Amino acid sequence: MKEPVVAVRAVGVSKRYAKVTALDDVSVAISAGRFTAVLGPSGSGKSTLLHCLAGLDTVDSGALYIEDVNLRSLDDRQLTRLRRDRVGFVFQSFNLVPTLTAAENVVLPLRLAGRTPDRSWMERVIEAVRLGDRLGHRPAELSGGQQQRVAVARALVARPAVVFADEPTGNLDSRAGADVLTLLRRCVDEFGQTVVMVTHDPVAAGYADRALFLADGRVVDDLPSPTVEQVLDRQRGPRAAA
Amino acid sequence: MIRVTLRGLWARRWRVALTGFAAVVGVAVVAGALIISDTADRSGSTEEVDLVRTIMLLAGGVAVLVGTFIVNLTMSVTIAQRTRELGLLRCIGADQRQLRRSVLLEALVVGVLAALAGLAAGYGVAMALRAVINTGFQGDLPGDGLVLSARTVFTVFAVACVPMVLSALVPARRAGRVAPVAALHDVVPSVGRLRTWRIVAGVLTLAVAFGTLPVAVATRQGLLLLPGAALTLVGVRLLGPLFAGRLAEVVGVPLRGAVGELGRRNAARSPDRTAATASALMIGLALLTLVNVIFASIEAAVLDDYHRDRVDFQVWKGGPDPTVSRAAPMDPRVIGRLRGLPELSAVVTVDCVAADDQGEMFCAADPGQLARVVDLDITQGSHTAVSAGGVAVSERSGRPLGATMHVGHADLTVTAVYHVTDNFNAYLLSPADFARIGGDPEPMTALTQVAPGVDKRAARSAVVSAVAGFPGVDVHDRAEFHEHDLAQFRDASAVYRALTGLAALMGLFGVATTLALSIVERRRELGLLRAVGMQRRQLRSMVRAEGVIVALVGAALGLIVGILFGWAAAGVLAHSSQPTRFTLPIGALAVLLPLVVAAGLLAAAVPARLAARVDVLRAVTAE
Repeated sequence: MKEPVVAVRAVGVSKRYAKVTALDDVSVAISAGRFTAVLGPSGSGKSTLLHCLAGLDTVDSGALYIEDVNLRSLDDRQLTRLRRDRVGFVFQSFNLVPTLTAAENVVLPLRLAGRTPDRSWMERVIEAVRLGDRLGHRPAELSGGQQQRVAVARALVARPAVVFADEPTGNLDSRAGADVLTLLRRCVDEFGQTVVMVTHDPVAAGYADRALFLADGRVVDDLPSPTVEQVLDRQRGPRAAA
Repeated sequence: MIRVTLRGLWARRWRVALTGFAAVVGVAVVAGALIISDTADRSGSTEEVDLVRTIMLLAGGVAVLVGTFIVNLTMSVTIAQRTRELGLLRCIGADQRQLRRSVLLEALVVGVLAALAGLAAGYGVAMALRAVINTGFQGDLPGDGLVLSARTVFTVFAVACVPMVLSALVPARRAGRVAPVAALHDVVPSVGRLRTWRIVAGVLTLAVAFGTLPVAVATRQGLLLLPGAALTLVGVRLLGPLFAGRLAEVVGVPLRGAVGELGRRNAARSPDRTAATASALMIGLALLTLVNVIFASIEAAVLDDYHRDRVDFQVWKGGPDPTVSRAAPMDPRVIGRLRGLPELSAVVTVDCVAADDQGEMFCAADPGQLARVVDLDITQGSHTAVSAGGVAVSERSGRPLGATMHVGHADLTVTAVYHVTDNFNAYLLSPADFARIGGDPEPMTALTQVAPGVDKRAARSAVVSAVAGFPGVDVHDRAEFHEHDLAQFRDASAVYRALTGLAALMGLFGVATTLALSIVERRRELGLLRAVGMQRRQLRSMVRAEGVIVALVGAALGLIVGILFGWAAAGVLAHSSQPTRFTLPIGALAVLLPLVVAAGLLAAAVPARLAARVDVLRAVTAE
C-alpha cells in the first residue's frame, strides 16, 4: 500500500508551562485528505497540540511541519503568512469579524494577502456551506450554526494545506452541530481537504477518519475509523480499554 | 460598596490615570493662572499679569471643557465594558442606587486626585508663567514665594470635581440600569438606536445655536456667540451618533484594501463613541479655525487700509508711534521746506485736536489735497463738499449725511461719510473751521508722497536733511511702519493659535484614549484577525486608519463650526473699532488637513502598538 501523503507532522514535541507539562514528546503525522479528530479530557494537551501544529503557539523542543515547512524556523511574519495562505481556522466561538458581512469574512484571508478570490472556487465553497442568501448579513444577524458555516467557508477559501477546527460544535445545539460536522466531512470527501478537529464530543469524533487520544500531554491511543461507541469506551477508561 | 468601589478603582488604575489626566491639563492651567495672579496682587504688579491671566484662564476653561468631554467618554466606554461585572454585582445583591452611587463616588475620587495633581502641576505652570512675564513682559514678579491662596485651592477643587461628577451622571445612570442577567451573557456593546427625543432636541438646539449667529451680527452683540457656541456643542453631542458613522464612511473613502476598509468600518461601528471622540477634537479645531478666520479677516481689512494709504513719508513731532493724538505742533517752516523739495509730489498737512467732550479727534486738511495721498473711500457725499461749515465723518461715527454738530465755536454739517480705516477715523473738517474749534494754527503732521520716478531712498534722505534743523521732528516711512504693525499683529495671532492648539492637542489625547479603550475591548477580534493571517504591520495600519478617520471627522465638524462662528465674529467685529473683512484663510485651513492626518496617526501610535501586541492565542482561546 502506498504511504499516504503527510500534511502536518509533529516530531518529539514537548511544551511546558510553569509547572505543567502540556505536551510530552508528542509525535504525530496527519495524513492529507483525511479527517482527524483529537480527543482527550480537559488539560490533556489536545488544544495546545492543535495551537502548536497551527503555528499559533510555540513549543520548547521537537519539530513541527506543515507540508515540509518547518514551523520552528519561521519568524512571526512568516508564520502569519503561513496561517493566511496555508492554514484554515474554525474556532469554538467568535470566529467572525463583526464589522464585516459573511461574504467579506469569507474572503478576508485572500484580501489580506492582496489576492482576488477564484470565482468558481468561491461559488463551490459558498454552495457547499449553503449560505447563498445570508452572504450580505453581518455575523450578529446570523445564528450560531450559520456563523460556524461562514467560518468553515473562510477556512476553505484559500485552499489551505490543512483546516484546524477547535471544538467547532462546542457552542451549538446538536442539529446545528451535525450540520457543521457534515460540512467538514464533505470538505474532506469532495474537496480532498485535510481537517484536524479538537473535540471532547464522541458524536463529533464519529465523523472523523481517525481519532487520536491525548492524556497528560501524551498520545495514548490512535483509532482508525472511530465509531461513537468506541470513542465512548475509550473516554470511560482509556487505559483499561487499551 | 465604598470598599468595592475603591478596589475597582485600583484594579483599573491605568484607565483611571488616563481619565484623570484629561482633567488635570485644564485644572493645572487654571491653577497656574490663579497662583500667578495672587502672586502679582501681593507684589503689586497686577498690570503686566492681567492679560496673561485672562488668556490663561480662557485656555484653562477650554481645556477643562474638552477634558470633561473626554472624561465622559472614557467613563461611558468603561461602564459598557464593565457590564458583566456590574451584572454580577446586581446578582449578588447590589441595588441600582448602589451601582449609581459607586460610579459617582469613583468620579469624585478621580476628581479629587485630579485636583491635587492639578495643583502640583499648576505650581509648575505658575513658575513658567512667571518666567514668561518677567522676561517677555518686563514684569517684576518676586523670584520666591508663589502665593497659594485658599480661594485658588477651592476653585481648583471645584473645577476638577464638578465637571468630573457631572460627566459621570449619564454613565452612572447606565450602570444602574444594567440587568443582573448581564452577568451571564457575553454582552456585545449595543449600537443603541437614537431616541426620537434626542434627535428632536438636537435639531432644535442646533437650530437655535446657528440662529444666534445672524442675530449676533445684526445686533452687534458679540457676547451672543458664547451661548451659541455652547448650544452648538450640545447639539453636535446629541446628534453626533446620527451622522458620525456616515461621516466616517465618507471621510474614509480614500482608504483602499482590506486593511483600510476594516479601519473605516471600525471608525463607523460605534457612531456614539466616534461622535463623542470627534466632538472633543472638534472643540479644538473649531477654535483653531475661528482664530484663523478672525485674524485673516482683520489682516485682510488692515491690508485694505494700507492699500488706501498712499503716503510715503510722514513728517511730524510726536515720537516713534505715529498716532495723531500724540502729535505736537511743528515749526511752520518745516512745511515750507518740504514743499520746496522736488523729490516730493505732494505735501499735505493734517492738524488734529481733541475738541469735544468725548475726546474725539477733529482733523483739518485740504480735502482735495488729502484725497491725493489717502483714499478716503467716501461712501456718501464727496470730499469737495468738505468746505467751511462742512465735516466728513467716518461710517462708524453713526452720524448720517446732513446731521449737524456743534463743536467749540463752530456749527458743522455732515457733508460726507467715508469708509473708516485703522489709521484714520477722525472727523475731518476744512482748515477754515479748525481755529474755531480750538485747534492750534501750527502744523502738526505733513503727509508726503514721493514724485514718480524718484528713488525712495534718495527722497528719504532729502526729506531727512530738509527737517534736520528742527529738533524733535521725525520722518516716518509709512511702509516700514505698516510692516512693523503687521509683524506685531501676526505675533499676537501666533499666541492665540498656540493656545487653541492646546485644546486641539487635548482632543487628540481623547482620540488616543478612546482608541486604546476600543483596542482593549476588541482584543479577541484582533487575535482572530492575526490568526487568519493579518500581519502585525497590517493590524497597526488598521488602527492608524481608524485614528486618522476619527480625527478627520472631528476636523470636519470643527472646520464647519469654526467657519460659521468666524463669519459671525468677523461680522460683529466689522462694526467695532477694529476694521475687519470676513476672509476665509484657505491656505491656513488647507494646511490643517495634513496636520490632522498626522495628528490622527500620532494619536493612534500607542493604540496601534497595543493592538499589534495582542496575544493571538489568548485572544482566540478566551472561553
